[in-house]
Order: sequence, then C-alpha cells, then structure tokens
Amino acid sequence: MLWALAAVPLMAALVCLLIPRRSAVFTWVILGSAAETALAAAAVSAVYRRGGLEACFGHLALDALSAFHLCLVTGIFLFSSIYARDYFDHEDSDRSLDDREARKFGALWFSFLGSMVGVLIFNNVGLMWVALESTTLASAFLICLHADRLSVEAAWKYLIICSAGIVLGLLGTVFIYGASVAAGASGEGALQWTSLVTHAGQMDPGLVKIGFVLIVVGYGTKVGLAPMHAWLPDAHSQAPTPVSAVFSGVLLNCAAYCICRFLPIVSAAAGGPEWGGRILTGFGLASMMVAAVFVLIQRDVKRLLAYSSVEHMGIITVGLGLGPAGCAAALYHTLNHSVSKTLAFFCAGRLVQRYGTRNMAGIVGSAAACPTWGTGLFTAILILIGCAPGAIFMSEFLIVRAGIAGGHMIVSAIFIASIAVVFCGALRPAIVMAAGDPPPRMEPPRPETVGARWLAAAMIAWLIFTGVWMPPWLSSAFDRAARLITDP
Amino acid sequence: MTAWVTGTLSGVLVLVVITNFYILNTGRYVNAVRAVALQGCLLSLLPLPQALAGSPEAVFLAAGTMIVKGVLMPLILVRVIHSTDEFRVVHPFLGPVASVLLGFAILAVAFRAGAAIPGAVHPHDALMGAVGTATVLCGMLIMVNRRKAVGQVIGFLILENGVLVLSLRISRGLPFVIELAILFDVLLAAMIFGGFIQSVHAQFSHTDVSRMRKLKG
Repeated sequence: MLWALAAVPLMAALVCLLIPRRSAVFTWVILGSAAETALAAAAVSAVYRRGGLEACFGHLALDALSAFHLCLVTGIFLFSSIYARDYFDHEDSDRSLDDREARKFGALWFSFLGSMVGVLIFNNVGLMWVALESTTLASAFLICLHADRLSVEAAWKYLIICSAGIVLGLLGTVFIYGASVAAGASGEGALQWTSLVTHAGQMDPGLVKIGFVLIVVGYGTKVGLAPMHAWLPDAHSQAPTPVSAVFSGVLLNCAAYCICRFLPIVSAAAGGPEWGGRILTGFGLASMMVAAVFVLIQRDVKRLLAYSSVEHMGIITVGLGLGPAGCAAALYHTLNHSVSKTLAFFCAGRLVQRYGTRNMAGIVGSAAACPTWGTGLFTAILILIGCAPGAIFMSEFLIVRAGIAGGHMIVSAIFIASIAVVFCGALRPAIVMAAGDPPPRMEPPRPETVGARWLAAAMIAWLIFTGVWMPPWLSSAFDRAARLITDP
Repeated sequence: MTAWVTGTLSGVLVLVVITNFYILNTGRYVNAVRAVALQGCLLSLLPLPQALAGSPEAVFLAAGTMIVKGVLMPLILVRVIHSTDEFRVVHPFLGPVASVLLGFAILAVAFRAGAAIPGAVHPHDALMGAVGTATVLCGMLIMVNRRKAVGQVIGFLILENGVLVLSLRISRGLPFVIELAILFDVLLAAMIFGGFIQSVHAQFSHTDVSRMRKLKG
C-alpha cells in the first residue's frame, strides 16, 4: 500500500505529459488526487487499526503521526485540485493556461504531491531530507507558472533561500547520524527513525544538540519561522492561488513534521524535553511577533494571509515546545490552520480575479458582489484570527492552557499579546473588504459552480463543528500522534 | 591507518581550503566555476581510506562525486554563464581583499570549532572538521556577497561541499543509498538552478539578484 502511495503521483505526473487538451488535464488532476486520497484513507485506517504500516524492509513506514499528516496532505491537495480547475477557467485569457502550460502544471503538481508524500512515508531521515529538498525543486516552477518579473523574483528567492536552509538541515542530520553511530547503531539502520529513537538515550548530547539547532534553523526556513521567513510572503503572494493554498496548507506542515521527528531524539539525548522545548518556543514566539508587526502594514490580501501563515506556524512551533498537551494542541492547530488557510486562499484568489487587484483597499463590498467568496473570506479570516467558536480559537486556547499548566507564564503572555495584535490588525481589512457597496462599474458575476459553493460551505461547517465539539476519534488521533513526538 | 594516507588526506584538505580562498578572491565567474570543479574532484578523494579498505561502494561513490561535482555541475554552470553573458563579478558587497581577510577570520573560527567536534579518532580528524566548517561558512559568505544569480549558486555548491566534508568527519560519511540520493538531488538542484537563471535572464535581461527588490514588506 505504501508503494502505491509513492507510485500513484509519479505515474499521474507522467500521464499528464501525454494528455493533449487542457480540460482533460484538469480532470485528470482531480482524478489522480482523488485516487491518492482514497489510497491514503485506506492506509491511514490500517494504521489506526493495526498501529503502523511498514514496507520495503522498513524503509517506508507510516505511524500515527505521519498518517495524520498524510490525511491532511492528500485531502488539501484534492480540494485544491478541484479548485484549480475553476480558478484557471476564470483567469483572464492572457494569464490563463494553454494546453502546454496545463500539462506542465499537472506534471509539476503531481511531482510536488509525490515528494510531499515521500517526506511522510520515508522512515529514513536521510531520505526524508531528500524528499523535502525535492518539494522545493518541484514547486519552484509552480510559483512562476505565468513567468513575469514578480513571480520569477519570488520563485528565485524561494529556491535559493530554501535550498540553503535545507542544506543546514542535512548538516544537522549528519550530526544526529554521527551521534547514532557512536551510540552503537550501524549502517543504514542508523538513520532510520525507529532505530534513532531506540538509541537516543545513549547518544552524545553535545552532537545531538548541535544537530537539533541546525535542523530547526534548516527545516525552519521551510516552515517559515522568523527570521528565516523572508521567502514566504513573496512566494505565497506571487504563486497562482491553488499553489499558494497548497504551500500554506500543507508544505509548511511537512517541514514542521520533519522537526517533530527529531524532537523525541533530542529530548532523550539531552535528558529531558526542556532544552528542545525552549528552542522551539523561542523560534515560535519570534515568528508570532514578527508576523504581528507585519500584518499591521499589509495592503495586499495574499501577503496578509501569508504573514498569517508565519504567525500560525509560530503558534504550532510554540505548541510543540510545551510538552504532551501542547503537542496534541499543536497538531489540532495544524489541522485547523490548514483547512481555514486553504479556504481563505480559495476565496481571496477568486476575489482577486473578480476585482482585478490584490490591494485590499480596492476590494470593497465583496460580500455583496460575490456572496460565496466574499462571505467565505470574511468567515475564514474571522476563524484564522481566533474568533470563537472557530476551531482555531479552541486550539489556541488549548496551547495557552498547556503553557500555563507547565508554568511558562512569560511564553503564554507573549503568545496572547501577539494573537491580540494580529486579531486587531486583520479584523479591520476583513471588515472593509466584506462590508460596503461594491464598486459601480463591475460586470455581473459569472455564476459559481455548485461544487465551489459546497467546497466553501463544507470547510466552514467543519471548522465551526470541530471548534464546538471534537469527536472522540479525532482527539484520540491527536493524542496518539502527540505521544510519538513526546514519548515514542 | 598508514601515514601516507593521513598525509594525502591532509594535503587534499589544505587544497580544498585554497580553492575556497581562490573563489573568494577571483573576479571571473568562469574561474570560480573551475575552482568549484577542482574542489569537487578533491572531495571525491576524501573517501580514500574506505576505498583502500576494499569497499566497492566507496569507490563507486568517489566516481559518482567526481562525475557529478567535478564534471556535470561545472558544465551546467559554464553554459549558464555563457548564455547569460555575465562573466565578471561586478561590485560585490565586500571587495576581494576584504573577503579574503574575512576568509582568514572564518578559518580561525573554524579551527576552534572543528577541534571542538567530539569523537576524533584519526590524526587528520581535527583538520577535517576545521576545513568542513570553514567551507560551510565560506559558502554562506559567497552566497550573500555576490550580486549575480550564478554567484549565489556557486556559494550554494560550496556550502554543500562543506556539509559533505563535515559528514565524513562526523560519521565517516552517510550510508551509501543516502549519499547517492543526495548526489542525485544536488545534480537536479543544479539543473533547476541553471534553468531558473535563464528564465531570470529572460525576464529581467540581467541576473543581478540585488536589483530584484520589487517584493518587500
């Protein structure tokens, strides 16, 4: 089954290159993502019934933590594939894709999916690194699908900053490997996560600590942690919206997942979770504060959402640093952020097409001008900034509770202050964009497809539903995944 | 380990440092690429002890490193330089003298840091740690100190070479499959960087990254 998970995107990418017509490419993209999602669902249900899957002599493995992320990746990819067809159909003719560009989009889209699935199913942290570097290479050309100056600039920054960052992640992996070999592991087993965790207790704490710092800095570049976040707002704002949604919704999580994998190793080697936790909360709080400042001065709606991603990645990182309760809450927050940010990008992308500008001052009266996307964006931003009863309010509350219960008063205070600043900073543009009368000279809207409306409605319903009541199977999934981070 | 192997390895490591300084100092990108090619060939000599111990994988890996880092990647870069017509290092943020002086400072720091890496066994281990650290830092310096896109890619490749030296120092290299995968990945990265520089050139008609500052805030 794990083999099939890796093979389907690769096959689909190759098939994409053979499809002559653009509309057929988009249908194929949806079908391929749906097949991958179905496979992932089957694999994940097997993991929850049997406790884990392995294939290829232990090189491929799926446990509760990667299964959770796998669900998220394939689900968000499926949503974005459905959205992508609508989105590119509504693009102006000069920015839309012709048959050849559509083939390129499909092939890159599936290779991007395949490399992200690779990050999750490789048990070997070295191959995990290779897969994460491939996500950068596969997605750089997706940013500048329409090659213009701004998107090429954004894509170049993304490529060079993330590649350099990820090389530091490799260096960190080398340090951990050295410690693991010295602790008695040998050969390829010494890089397998399961064996790293068993040997972690005997590893040299000095080597592991250097390695962990390099890993947090390196993979953190890709997560978008401040001060390594410089590529993120540019790439998110310049990429076509389905790509921005996937970047924000799952690519950042994949990199955060890599850091999660090393957390139990450093906890065991350093003799307790405090040391690693301090590093993570430090980077997390820095990201939240930087995002809080920059949210206040944004005029571009997609950049606003991008800085909000920096903030939420900071929140997740803080949560990971706060022990078992914090980890479970951070995973819950990962899910909430992915769904709500994807929805926000979907809505913002279509509004930008409708108004012809990304400047928030130009987007007024969107709730009246296009009800689905206008109200959708308004609701999504309200949920993102932590309005009750949205799911993000709940997960932020749980992280703060974990912080206070663990005695981290200063961390909790800075955390709440940053959230409050973002709340005020993002609420005003959200109201301005939604309320008021639309500009008089707008052509009547093209009717929305039923699928688009249902997509938006279902995502909002899910976000409010899980904010009010978390089903027991969901909370047990978070607890099982969090146990792998804190105490495997 | 025999004395001549230790001596050869130390010599190779010193040559790696010299290539770093040459790249910091040179004013022509083609020369910098030649030095990177030389550095790649030097790196392929470093798994020498394992190869002498009769490990076919080490020989295979050395050959692969030589082909990828010594031949293929430099060829890609030289082609990119010719197609974008940008041969000279123009107005780096730090001039050649300042960068070489900074390079000496980096070397001094690297010797302190390299000696601090635990687990030294062989006599050349301290030197290897120092050279690896110095190469990583030099790569970063070159990445931030070049305005042209190709200069940044050269810095990236040096950074990656430094990680390779450090991996030999810390853990006698990574497992064979991983090394191969990384090598392939880096080759792919160089190809994509090359393609990208050409599209930067097509859009801006220059590849001066420091002048690409439309996106900020």
